[in-house]
Amino acid sequence: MKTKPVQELLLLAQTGELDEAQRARLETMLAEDKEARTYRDDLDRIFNGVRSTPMEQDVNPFVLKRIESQARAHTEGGRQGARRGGEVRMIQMWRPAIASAVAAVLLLFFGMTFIRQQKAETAQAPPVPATSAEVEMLAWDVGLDADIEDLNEILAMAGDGIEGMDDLVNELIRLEGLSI
Amino acid sequence: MEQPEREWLAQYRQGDVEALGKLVEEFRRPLFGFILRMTEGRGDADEIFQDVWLRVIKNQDRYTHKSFKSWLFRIAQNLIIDRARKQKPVVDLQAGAKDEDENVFETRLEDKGLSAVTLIDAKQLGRKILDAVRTLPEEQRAVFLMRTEADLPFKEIAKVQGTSINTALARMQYAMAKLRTALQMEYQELQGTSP
Repeated sequence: MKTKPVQELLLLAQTGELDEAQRARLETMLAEDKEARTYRDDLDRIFNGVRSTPMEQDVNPFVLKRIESQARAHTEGGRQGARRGGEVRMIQMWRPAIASAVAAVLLLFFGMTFIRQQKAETAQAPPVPATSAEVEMLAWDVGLDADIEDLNEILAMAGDGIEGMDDLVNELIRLEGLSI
Repeated sequence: MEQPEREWLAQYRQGDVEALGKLVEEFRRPLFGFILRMTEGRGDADEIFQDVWLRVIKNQDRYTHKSFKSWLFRIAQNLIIDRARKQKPVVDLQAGAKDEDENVFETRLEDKGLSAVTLIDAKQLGRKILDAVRTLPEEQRAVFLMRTEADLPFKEIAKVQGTSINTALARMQYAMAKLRTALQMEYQELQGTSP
């Protein structure tokens, strides 16, 4: 028997890893070679022997429970993590816009408050008494207003009875009590 | 990848914990059998089994392998190697001294009178094989158990071990040769003690 090739082919035949040509070659070898057949039989018996031998022990049920609880925790943790991650990403994306909006609202609030305070202070403030200088100024203003009224009358008259600049000057002098 | 496994893993990714339970159950026997027989005498098979699944759970999104089974066994083998490096070897004094009358082998055997394997008492054959498997070098034992327990093809075994298919085949051939020799000796012993 060509030991190595036959054994390799027999091992590969067990796993279905032979192509057509190799399978045909193996069939020929098995038909012609008694040792090849013995090896094949030993191979089968050893495999069957191992596979049909019960395990000395089985997996501890607590281990199976632990795997299940870890699987559950990982799934739930993964979901929560993904949700948290999404929220964090959303917050990061909108952070500048949120900050601007908050700043604008605060600015508006403080502005409105300031304006209201100003208005309230103005409404509550008592009237300020006028000083003597201010009374004088008011009196002067009244005199000036009377003069302006007189001038207007003169100009009106100029349109009617007064002719020429001499009459106008004389009339002004008269009003002021001056003589030229 | 095998269709049910792909589907179950996809369902678990969507939050169906029971789908993972189906995966665990599907691979319970081959995976635990592999771990148990790779770690005999160490007593940490349960922990490794648990760690394998925790890694599956943790790394499910990174999973890109075609075969879920080979990914699973790759994780298992890496954990076994890691733990073996960390632990001092523990000698199992019970190993090899199991009750000879323990009836653990119920498979059908045809007595053709062709080989030693055929002639050993059928009741003891399974136990004898596993005792002999225990003496194999780690890499050969891993290949042998991945074939017998997980039914992984050599192409996948090569991937799990990070080697070529020829190396995986060679390891299996060495393992088979040693097992046949061990069983041959067993047969001779039986002949010598028989009246």
